[in-house]
Amino acid sequence: MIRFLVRRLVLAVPTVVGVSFVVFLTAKLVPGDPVASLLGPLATPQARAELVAHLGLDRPWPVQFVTWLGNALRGDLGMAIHEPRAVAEIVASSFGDTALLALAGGLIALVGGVVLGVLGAMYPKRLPGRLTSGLSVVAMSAPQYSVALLLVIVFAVHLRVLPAGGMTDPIDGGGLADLLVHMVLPAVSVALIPLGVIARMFRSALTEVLGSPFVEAMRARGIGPVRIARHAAHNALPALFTITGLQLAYLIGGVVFVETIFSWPGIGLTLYNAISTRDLPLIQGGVLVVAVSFVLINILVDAAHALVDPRVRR
Amino acid sequence: MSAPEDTPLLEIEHLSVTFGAAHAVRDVSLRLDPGGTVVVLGESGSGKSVTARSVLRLPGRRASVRGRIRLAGCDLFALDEKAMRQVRGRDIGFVPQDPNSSLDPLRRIGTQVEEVLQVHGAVADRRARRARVAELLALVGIPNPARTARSYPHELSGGMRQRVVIAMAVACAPRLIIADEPTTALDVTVQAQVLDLFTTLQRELGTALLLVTHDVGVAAELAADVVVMYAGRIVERGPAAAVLTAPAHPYTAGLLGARPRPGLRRGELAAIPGGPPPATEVVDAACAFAPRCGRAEPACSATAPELRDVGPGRAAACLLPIAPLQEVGA
Repeated sequence: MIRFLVRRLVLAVPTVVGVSFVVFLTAKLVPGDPVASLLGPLATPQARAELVAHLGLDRPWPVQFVTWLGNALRGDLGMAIHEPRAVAEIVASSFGDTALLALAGGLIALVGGVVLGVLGAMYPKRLPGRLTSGLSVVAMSAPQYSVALLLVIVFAVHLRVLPAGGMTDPIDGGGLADLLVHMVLPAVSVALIPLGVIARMFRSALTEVLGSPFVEAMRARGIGPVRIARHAAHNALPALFTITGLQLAYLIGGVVFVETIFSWPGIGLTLYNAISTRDLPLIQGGVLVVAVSFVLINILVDAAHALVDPRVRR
Repeated sequence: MSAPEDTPLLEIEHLSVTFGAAHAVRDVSLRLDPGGTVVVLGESGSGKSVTARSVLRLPGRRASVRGRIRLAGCDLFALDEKAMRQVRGRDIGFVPQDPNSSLDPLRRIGTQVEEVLQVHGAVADRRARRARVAELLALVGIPNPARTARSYPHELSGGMRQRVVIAMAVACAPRLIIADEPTTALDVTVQAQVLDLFTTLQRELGTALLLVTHDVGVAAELAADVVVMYAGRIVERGPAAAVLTAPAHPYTAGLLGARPRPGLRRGELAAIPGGPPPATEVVDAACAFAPRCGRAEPACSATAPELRDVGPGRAAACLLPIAPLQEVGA
């Protein structure tokens, strides 16, 4: 098991290097000149040349990449252009807030998806099955953006039971309870799509296991439905891990809309602002962290899979 | 369930199984004495598997079943589901076709064998149960029972897996083992070993065996009573020695002729022309084999032949049975 993990981690290194290379190149390809956007149209050629030299933009791009990657490995992602703070610092705090939101949303999606999936697999032709498959389709296809707005209108504007945005109350905020109250609407908004996806995938995984020869053989040995359900759930776990991991990774990278609507100070909002102000170091740092977390989540999923399935760990 | 000595262990009476319009099993009756062996022989789609699974009341989804099946005098179709679950595994051991997919891939062998004992309350004490698992694995000829019990299914060979599945089938000392093509997924050398194992277990435990196969060789090797099925019906039955040397039904003769034998040259293997009719198109008022039969006469397409005695302990459902001692495959 430990050997398995070590090997996965070693194999992740080239992936991360490749990912960071793409991130670096993408930032290079973004239209717009960071120097022009920093200094404005009236800058003198001399000032421009000084800034280019200061940012290292006059060196060939492979050198720039290696320097950037080397610094990134030491936790130094450079300084943000529009804010006098280190990129690493901004990214760390906003990534933490996003992770919080993604975990809450992921938990809702996991619990809801498993319940819907189990009901759907157990009663495919009866009311629960039909109802759950309908619900998961609605959850999957409802646009995050409108769902979030709808939730705000209903629960914050009309019913006035939940706050419309932010992470804490600005006046007498703070504390876990306050955070949780602020988290409900954004977490539900981000959870919907993954919930639908998990429900459908888990349902089909369970259905497949329940129809497999070994389940039939267990029935022929007189083993009861409760034990069979336990074996089936065990066998459907790897599929559940895989899909949940993918959805969690998607949540971390894809909550821009929801964070914008609920002014949640996460990585999505940070990246959104960085892109609109052409803050290249911040874009690079933010995307890199999201990409690396994607890789890490996948390693976690593989590890969980190996824990469950003896055929995978070797 | 107790029964007088002369009661057959298993009695299938007028069993019919339909899946919608498909008539998979038609009016099949057979009996099996305690400790006896019956081999059900037929090609795929002949209804032999559905017959065997009907004894466990697991014929498949959307099946509608008529007829009666009694185990030691007890009507299995009258039992509620809970009582039937006790019969499965405890009174009847089942060996499915493919050992490679009939074990939970994520659980250790020992746990899975133990589960059968646990579910049927065969051994209450946990430690005793573990010991019994090792005994069972040794009984089916697994060389290192303790280590095998700790292994996962993917760590064993196909033959070893089939032995484990057989160990699970005999775990609760059932009176009947039903084996559905138990050797089909195995190498030829392993096939013989597994058949030997069945014979040994029967001798040691006094268990009856109902074995379903498409392989004439398996039937010959077990030297049991043979029931030949075609298109959902029994077409011939009798002792293997007689049926497989001098078949009375042209279909049985065709099966034997289609069997590869050493010394046979290319082109000499006699296939039965045509194919079996789809289960939706078999009519009741004709012999289902008539369209493929070289001996068929107009009468064969007008009446369905009943099983009639053709010799000592033998019966065939044919209007024009092959006379005894006639050349095989003529």
